[in-house]
Amino acid sequence: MDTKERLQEVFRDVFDDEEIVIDGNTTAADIDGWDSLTHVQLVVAVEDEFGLKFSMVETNSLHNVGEFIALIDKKLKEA
Amino acid sequence: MIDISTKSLFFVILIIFAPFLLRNGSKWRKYIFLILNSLIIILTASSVTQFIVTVLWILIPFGVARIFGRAGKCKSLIIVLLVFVYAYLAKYDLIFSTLHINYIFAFRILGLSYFLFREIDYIVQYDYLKEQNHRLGLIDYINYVTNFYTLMAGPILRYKEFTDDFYKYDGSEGMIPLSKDELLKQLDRVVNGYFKVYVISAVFNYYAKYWYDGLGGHSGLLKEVLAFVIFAYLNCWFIYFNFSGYCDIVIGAAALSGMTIHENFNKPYMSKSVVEFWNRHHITLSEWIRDYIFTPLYKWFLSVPFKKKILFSQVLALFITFLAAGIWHGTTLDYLMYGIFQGLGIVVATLWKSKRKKWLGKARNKKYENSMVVITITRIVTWMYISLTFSFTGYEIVKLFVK
Repeated sequence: MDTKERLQEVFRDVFDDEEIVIDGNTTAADIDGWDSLTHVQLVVAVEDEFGLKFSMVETNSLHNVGEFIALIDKKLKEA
Repeated sequence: MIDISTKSLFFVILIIFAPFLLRNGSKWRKYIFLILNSLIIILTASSVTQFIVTVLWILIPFGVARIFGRAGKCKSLIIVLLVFVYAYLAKYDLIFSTLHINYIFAFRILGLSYFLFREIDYIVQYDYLKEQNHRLGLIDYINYVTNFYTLMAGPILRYKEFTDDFYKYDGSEGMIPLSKDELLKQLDRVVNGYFKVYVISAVFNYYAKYWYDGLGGHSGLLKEVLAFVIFAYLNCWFIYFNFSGYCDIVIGAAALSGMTIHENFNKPYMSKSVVEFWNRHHITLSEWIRDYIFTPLYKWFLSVPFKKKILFSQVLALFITFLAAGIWHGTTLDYLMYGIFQGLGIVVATLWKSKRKKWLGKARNKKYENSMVVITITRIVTWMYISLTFSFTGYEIVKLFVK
């Protein structure tokens, strides 16, 4: 599984919706229930899944799923 | 000592001369703001010692960000220290009287707490912005922290937002004057703001005070409760018109000098829950506490002590966040109560939403939320609850009960 597929599983788990399909352009407006509360849940779940740690600044400056995937890949390379 | 609140002549003069600050793209603009901001800090100082404390309070965080930029753990410790110093400067009797510490260097500094918000933002964002080669120099920092438009009571800008906006015309050709329409629109906003503050809110304040003063003199508990409720409902409109009018003046005036300031209000009394209310009232404060108190707390709860207990972590982090925000508003017991009631309101709204979703299922919950009857009732209930909690700010309510 590549980063996008793994991330999609995390999304389905956090938002409790098996039908979620993500792509690079997906934003918070496209996913039901993606607010500041669930955003933190999502970040923690992603940290668990990929074994990474993000800073608040990194995760708050994301604009879409594509940027999130890029951030994960960058962190995975550094690790 | 001069006054730079919106009622002062000095502030009106600043607004009139604002277009002269509109030297967008000019290399002198930042120095013009630096001189003006520094002048206001100097002129509002009440003594030499107070001035020195103010300067230190501004400059130390700048040094801290540079020295400890890379050391994450040190940074958290320093922020805790800064908050402690802030509590000392703001004279939090609950802490310092209990510890028998005297206030030797505690001076009433204008906009003290708003300095702290901006300083923490600068310290936390420093690494990230440095990586992005963002401007982080002393002059930009001083202009950001002491920006006279938002010195008194916000809106709270973020460092990146401020600098991006300040230099938005850089590289383009010289000055960009405001269009006539834009100029009139912003002047209209400023005048409206003054009207809201000095006419509408003043009237609500007069009657709120009138009903507050009458408390305790009515015959019978029912009359007393009714009088209290009337006072609270009048007072909430005073707060709304006063603060949103103030923000209209500040945002409009700043726009005249080419500066964009984040909106702070979005029809708060149309909110259907306490959670929604805080997304519409004093928006920049809500966003600040969300990023710097709620998110780190919630993230920590979720990853260490209460793993997988999502709802519990959420509710606890929310309660602590709003309690902290309440205490930040003032140093008396009334503000503690205010924080507790805000926290409780937020917790109940969050639990109710989560349980409701489970009981009704997604589709039926949507239907429930969109029903006109539900919307009307929840709006009224939210307004009533918020009004009651707001009575703790600016009035001595605890005293009424503990006699």
